[in-house]
Amino acid sequence: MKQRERLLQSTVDLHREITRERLTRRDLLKLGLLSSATGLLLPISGLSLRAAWAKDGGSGSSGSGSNSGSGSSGGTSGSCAIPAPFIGQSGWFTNPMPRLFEMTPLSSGIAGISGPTPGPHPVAGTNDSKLRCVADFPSTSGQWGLDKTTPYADLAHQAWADPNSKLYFPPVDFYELRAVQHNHRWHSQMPAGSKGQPAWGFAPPGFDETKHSIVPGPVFRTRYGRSHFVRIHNDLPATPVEDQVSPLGFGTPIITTHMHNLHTPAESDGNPLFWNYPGHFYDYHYPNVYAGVNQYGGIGDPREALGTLWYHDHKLDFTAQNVYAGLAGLNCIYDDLDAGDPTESTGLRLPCGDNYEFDVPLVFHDRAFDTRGVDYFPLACFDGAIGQDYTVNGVIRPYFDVSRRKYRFRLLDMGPSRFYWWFLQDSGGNNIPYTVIANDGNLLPAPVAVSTGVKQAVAERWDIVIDFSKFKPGDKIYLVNRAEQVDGRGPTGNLLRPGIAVLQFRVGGAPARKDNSMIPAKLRDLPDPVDLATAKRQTWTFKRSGGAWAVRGEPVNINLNTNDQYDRFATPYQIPEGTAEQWTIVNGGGSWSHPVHIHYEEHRFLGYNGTAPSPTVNPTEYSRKDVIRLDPNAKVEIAMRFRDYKGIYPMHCHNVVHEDHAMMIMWKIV
Amino acid sequence: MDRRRFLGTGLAPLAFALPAAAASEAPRRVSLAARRGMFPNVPLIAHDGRRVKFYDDLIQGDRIVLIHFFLLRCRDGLCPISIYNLTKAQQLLGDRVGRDIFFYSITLSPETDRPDLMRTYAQVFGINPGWLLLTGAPQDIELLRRALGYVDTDPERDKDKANHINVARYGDDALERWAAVSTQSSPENIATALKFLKV
Repeated sequence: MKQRERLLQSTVDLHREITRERLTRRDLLKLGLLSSATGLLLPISGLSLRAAWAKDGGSGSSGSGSNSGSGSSGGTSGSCAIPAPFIGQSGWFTNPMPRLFEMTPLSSGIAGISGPTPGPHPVAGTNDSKLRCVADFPSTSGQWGLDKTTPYADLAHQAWADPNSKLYFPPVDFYELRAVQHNHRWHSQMPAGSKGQPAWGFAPPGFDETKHSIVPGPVFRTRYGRSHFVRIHNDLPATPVEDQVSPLGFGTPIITTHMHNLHTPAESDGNPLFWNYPGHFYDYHYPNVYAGVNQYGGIGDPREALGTLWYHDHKLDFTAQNVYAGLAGLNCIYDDLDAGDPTESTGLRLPCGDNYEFDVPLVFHDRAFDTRGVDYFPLACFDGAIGQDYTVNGVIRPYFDVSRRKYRFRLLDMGPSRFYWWFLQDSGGNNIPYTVIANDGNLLPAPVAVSTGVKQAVAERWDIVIDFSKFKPGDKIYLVNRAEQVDGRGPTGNLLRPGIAVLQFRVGGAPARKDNSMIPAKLRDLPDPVDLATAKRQTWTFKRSGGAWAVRGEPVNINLNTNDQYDRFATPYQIPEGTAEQWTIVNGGGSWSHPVHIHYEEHRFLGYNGTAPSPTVNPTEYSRKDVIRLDPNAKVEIAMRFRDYKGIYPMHCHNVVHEDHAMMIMWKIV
Repeated sequence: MDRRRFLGTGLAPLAFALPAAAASEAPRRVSLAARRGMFPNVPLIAHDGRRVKFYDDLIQGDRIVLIHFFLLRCRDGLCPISIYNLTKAQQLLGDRVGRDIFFYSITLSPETDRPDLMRTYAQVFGINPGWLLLTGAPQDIELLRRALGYVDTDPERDKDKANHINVARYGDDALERWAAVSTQSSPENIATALKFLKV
């Protein structure tokens, strides 16, 4: 490192001299700083070129070098320009909000999986282009040979390979998805009409684009203690498809799918480096255990349960574009407490109903359309990507028919860069309290009634309960975003007056069946606090450096090995399994907000700008978390454990445009 | 500098390395990104004196390109680190640079960064064929800068050229595939990002 810094410094010095003193190549040759054979620069540490030049009798101006130039004479409207909403007021609340496709396990189990039969180990020596599991990296060049250089033991599913391990949870349920390009209807008034326009998404078996939406993907309903397996086939077009409408014009068909934020072994986490290619598949195995298996035995500590998770593309450098393309979906996970009981008579008795009728994911995603109604991604905007056409479950500003009873809504900000501040309002714009039950998918110790809204950053989840029985049939109630945001940097902090109604609830009649659900006074206990006396301390500063994002002042060099290939299994920051650390996450300045996401385990806030959330102070943050809403200049102390499975995981900014511009680091449990 | 020698080492391979639009009979597809204005087809002058059109000659078609902005005189000292990293990345990529990978460094100070100064700079820094240092009319450079998003949302900060963004865009026009990589990261990181852009 020292060596490289010295080398760089000498190059910098040399460069400064060259540009200020107008040195020529001959001068440099004379000074011995160029090799005449190759013409390559040979930086020599410690030699001041300025001194040498002065000695040689030269002189030159050493002006500052900056020139104010021509100012802003550019003829474009600016690459970060946010288009006006394409769907105007006449279109709002005219389209029904789609329910997500309910995913069911393959009835034939493992036999229903297409291609080679899944197993705990990848197949060695196959010449099948459809390699499997984590060995799915091309080896055509002979250099990319992760599958040749990495022992197969390292590629095995950790929770499936060793029957004698405490962490052995072989899959019970089997699922299959295909990442595909399909047409999607963002709104019935879009000019593309009924055909829609191309989007990417996860298609379940039996998907029919005339009946189902491709964005967002299907919702999984899984259960702690019941391990599941998903094979995701990459059927995306390898090159842009010039169909009758248009190709997307953004994204990459090279994908990896992250499950945010399940307690998943590293090889199934959907790490940004664990990608696969069109025509290939990747096998994900989710043991569906609570964190703390090694510590507590069984399936871990039930106080570590998550409830609302989402899966999405995480390809290095392309996450924002690929999620924007539509590669995202929901996964709800239940247990004895959060029972998912259709009769709402067991566990906490939270709203559920038959076929999860009253347990409804709401996926928020803002989009930009050009003046012809063709959607696009602002490829040339470093700040972030925001649009003004707000979609819920893939449709712009829809309505949703509700019965007069309690509903559980699972709010997800799918990004790419917008922050929300959610209020519930009546037609007169009056705020109506609602009940928050979970933060980032984690049930709170107790429900919290909020009347001043909750703020939501990209990837954060809020579970809320709204009781529509207090309204009259025919009432219209609105979910309203009141966070002002004028660019991709983050919210201004101002409260919009009035806000932007994103979803309209149309209150209908009494439910067909009596509402048996409850909002119990107590939800889920928090785990024991981390012993801070033994926790290692680390500080991570997220900031802009020379226009690029950096963590701890280091632009990200994503895990390279000595052959300049990505090394998916190594990183300098190693953490022993079974330990805990205390991290300080700092926003390095500017008017930027960063939703910082740490994979694998949930953490707890010890302090947000010095204040520790408690049942009375910021009670909605008195919770386990996996996304830190890092406001401008904020400093957040967290405690986090690293238990059970091993391997490499990232921490990154979930303004995915920032993430793709290198706001990410990797750490490894060893 | 011996002009003949310069021509021998610099210009000729460069001419070879620039795919000629006219040589291709079939009309080439204009990408969506280009149609959306990301690549204004402005005239530019390369460090060897060659005149090119930005989109037609440098971007369009199936090739991996890396684009960034820099200054010959870089007050904050970050440009040379970027250029250093790119020279090393170029070495790591070997003969692919000039064949299917191209680097373009565009000056933010076209008033002062003349082609002849750029030529010296290119020689000094070992900038090989397949990598062009580019300048042009100030209004054209400004157009490019804005179209490619090298703009600070704060207009006051944006006026200061020293506040430039040390991130390179890289992508493939024919594939409609664009990403970005920090030029302040390592040469290995930059080279690997380019190598792994395609299947």
